[in-house]
Amino acid sequence: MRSLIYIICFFYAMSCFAQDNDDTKVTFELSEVAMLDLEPNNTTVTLNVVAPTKAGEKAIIVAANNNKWINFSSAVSAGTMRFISIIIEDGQVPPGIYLKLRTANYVGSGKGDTGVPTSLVTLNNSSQTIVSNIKGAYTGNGENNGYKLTYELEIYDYKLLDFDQSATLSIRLTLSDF
Amino acid sequence: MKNFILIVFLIVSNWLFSQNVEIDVSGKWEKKIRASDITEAGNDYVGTYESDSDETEIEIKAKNKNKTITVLIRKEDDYDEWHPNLQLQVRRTDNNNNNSNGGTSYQTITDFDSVFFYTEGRDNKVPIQYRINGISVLLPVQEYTTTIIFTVFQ
Repeated sequence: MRSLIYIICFFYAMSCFAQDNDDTKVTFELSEVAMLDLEPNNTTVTLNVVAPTKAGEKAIIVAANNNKWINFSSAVSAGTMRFISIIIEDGQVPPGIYLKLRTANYVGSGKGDTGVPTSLVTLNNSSQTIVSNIKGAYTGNGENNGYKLTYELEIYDYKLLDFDQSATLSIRLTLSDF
Repeated sequence: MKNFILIVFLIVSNWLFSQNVEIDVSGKWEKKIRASDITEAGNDYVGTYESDSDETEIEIKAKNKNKTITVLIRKEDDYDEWHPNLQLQVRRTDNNNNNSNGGTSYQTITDFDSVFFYTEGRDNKVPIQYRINGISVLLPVQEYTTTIIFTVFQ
C-alpha cells in the first residue's frame, strides 16, 4: 500500500512539473592583426647641414618635418611577440654624417603590451629593431599616440663633408613577428 | 491485480494530462572578426558586434497552452575557449508576439540560469539575436566558443 502511495506521488509530481532544455553554440574567430601607420603623414623628412655663420664654429644642422609618430594595432596568438624594424631601403647617407633615429617612450590613448623602444639607432642598409616585445596592443590614432620618432644628423668627420652633395633616402618601417 | 490496473491508469492519465513542454533550438552564431574591421592603424576593434535578428530560433511546444512557460538561459564554456572580457548578450526580437513577455532588451548571459522571458501557448517560435562586447586586439588570437543552454519549464 505504501509503495502505491509513492507511485501516485511520483506521477502527480511528474504531471505538475515539466522541463526540457536544448543548446546552441556561439563562436568568434579572431584574426591576426598587424597594422602600422605614420602620423601625421609619411611625407619627406628634410635634414640640412648648413655652413656656420662664423669661422671656427661647427656646422649647423637644420631639420624640417623630422618628427613622426608610429601608430600600430597588433593582435597575436598567446606567446607570440612582434617588433618594429627600420632600414634604409634605397639610397646612401652622404659621407661624413650619420643619420640617427631617436625613438621616445610610448605615450597615448592605447592599451596593451605596446613594447619597449630602443632609444637611438644609427640608420643604415641593415634592418634594426626600434621597438620590441609588442603583443596584443593598439597605440591610439594620430599624433601624440604611439612612438615619437625624431630623425637627426650627426657629423662624425668634417673632412668627408661635401656641401654640394645631397641624398634622398627611402626608409621602411616594418611590424613583424619574432 | 487491482494495483496493476491502478498503475496503468496513472501512467495513461499522466501521459494524457501532464504539462509536457519541449524546446528545440536551431541556428548558431559564428562570426569571424577580421583585421579589416579596424579602420586605421592605432585603433582597436569597435568592440561590439551584433548577430542577425533571427540568428537562433527557439521553438517551444507545450501540451498545456494556458500555463505560463518560463525560459531560462545560461552559458557553459571551457576555460581556454572563452575569455572573461567577452560579454555575450541576448534578446528576443519578436516584439509583437503577444504570447511572450520580457526578454526584448539585451541581457548578459551568465554561467548561471537566469530568466530570459515568459511565454504561453501550444506552439511558439521565438527569434533570438545576440550581441558580443569586449572584442579587442588585446585578446589572444584564437577561436572563442561558448554553449548557450535554453531551459523551459512549466
